[in-house]
Amino acid sequence: MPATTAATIDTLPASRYPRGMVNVEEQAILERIRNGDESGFELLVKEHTGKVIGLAWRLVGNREDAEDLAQEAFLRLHRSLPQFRGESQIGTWLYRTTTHLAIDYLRRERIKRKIFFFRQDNEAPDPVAFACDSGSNPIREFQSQEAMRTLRKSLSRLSSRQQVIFTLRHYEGLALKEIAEHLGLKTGTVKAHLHRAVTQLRLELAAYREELI
Amino acid sequence: MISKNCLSEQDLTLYYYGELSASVAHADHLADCLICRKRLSALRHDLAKLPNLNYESDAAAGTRMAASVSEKLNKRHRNWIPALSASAIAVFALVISISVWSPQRQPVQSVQSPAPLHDALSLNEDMPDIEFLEDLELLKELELLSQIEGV
Repeated sequence: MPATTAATIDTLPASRYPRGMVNVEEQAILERIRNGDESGFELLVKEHTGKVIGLAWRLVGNREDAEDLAQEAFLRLHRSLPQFRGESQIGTWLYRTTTHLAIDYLRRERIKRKIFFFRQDNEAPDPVAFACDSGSNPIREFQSQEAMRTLRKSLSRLSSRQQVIFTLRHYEGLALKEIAEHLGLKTGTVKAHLHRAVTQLRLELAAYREELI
Repeated sequence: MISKNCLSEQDLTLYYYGELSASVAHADHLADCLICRKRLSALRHDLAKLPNLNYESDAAAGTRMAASVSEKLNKRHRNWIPALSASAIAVFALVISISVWSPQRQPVQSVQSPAPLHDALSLNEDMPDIEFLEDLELLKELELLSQIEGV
């Protein structure tokens, strides 16, 4: 696939955003921004775009909305940079902000669906929204898209908090303690949400498999 | 059959994700308990079937995002300047109007200030003469007259 040579696929969940103090390079960029050099901010955006959009896409399941959320996260970062003390890395800050934006987005979408009886599962899946490893095999590609659609449908039936907690633990590889910190919840609450999400997903996916048979 | 020592569904989920505290005891139980091993295996199987969510980002995405963020920031900046200038003009106009009108307000006050005096004088005119009221003899005569009229 020639496109993949120019593309970056973020498949290393655990190391996506290492925690800790701002590194020296990032500190230098922040100093440039504080001195009024806007090209420093551009550098930050370029460096983090793939990861932020990837996270947003995994959380909301829609490429266009994921890009909008990422853009909002960067705009908020720009606004917060003067107060940025360097207690956390830019990546960690973006990660947390994007997660919160995604939760708000999912809540709004849920309300919209309730009000307008809008059925998202009727929509055709975005053919370029995800990378499938099916090569050029159309059957496998179809199955992959179908599995994706089913997962999205099942996820959308969870509460926005369960959806985010499951995605952060299962796909992003974040420890429950970190998720609790990000979302300002108790670890016990996060555990309960994760369990309910997993149980619900298994039920939904089992029902889907039975439908296929 | 699940015994009371078996892992709960939540514990199994947490064990799968490596989030179960005191996992040694649970690991020991899992080694002995066929039912729990089967339940864990079913959980693994189900979760392994979930599709990967690998986002493919093209190389130009960063540049595009930087451009769109920069455009948004400029637009916000452009929106901010007219709003600021409009409020500055409004404040300036207010200051000017206050400074122009304030000298005229004082004469207005000076014109208005005699009004209560005038009102007080007109009230005094309406009031009966106090000396007249103080004349008790006259009051007694008036009372006598009213008694005669009553008869």
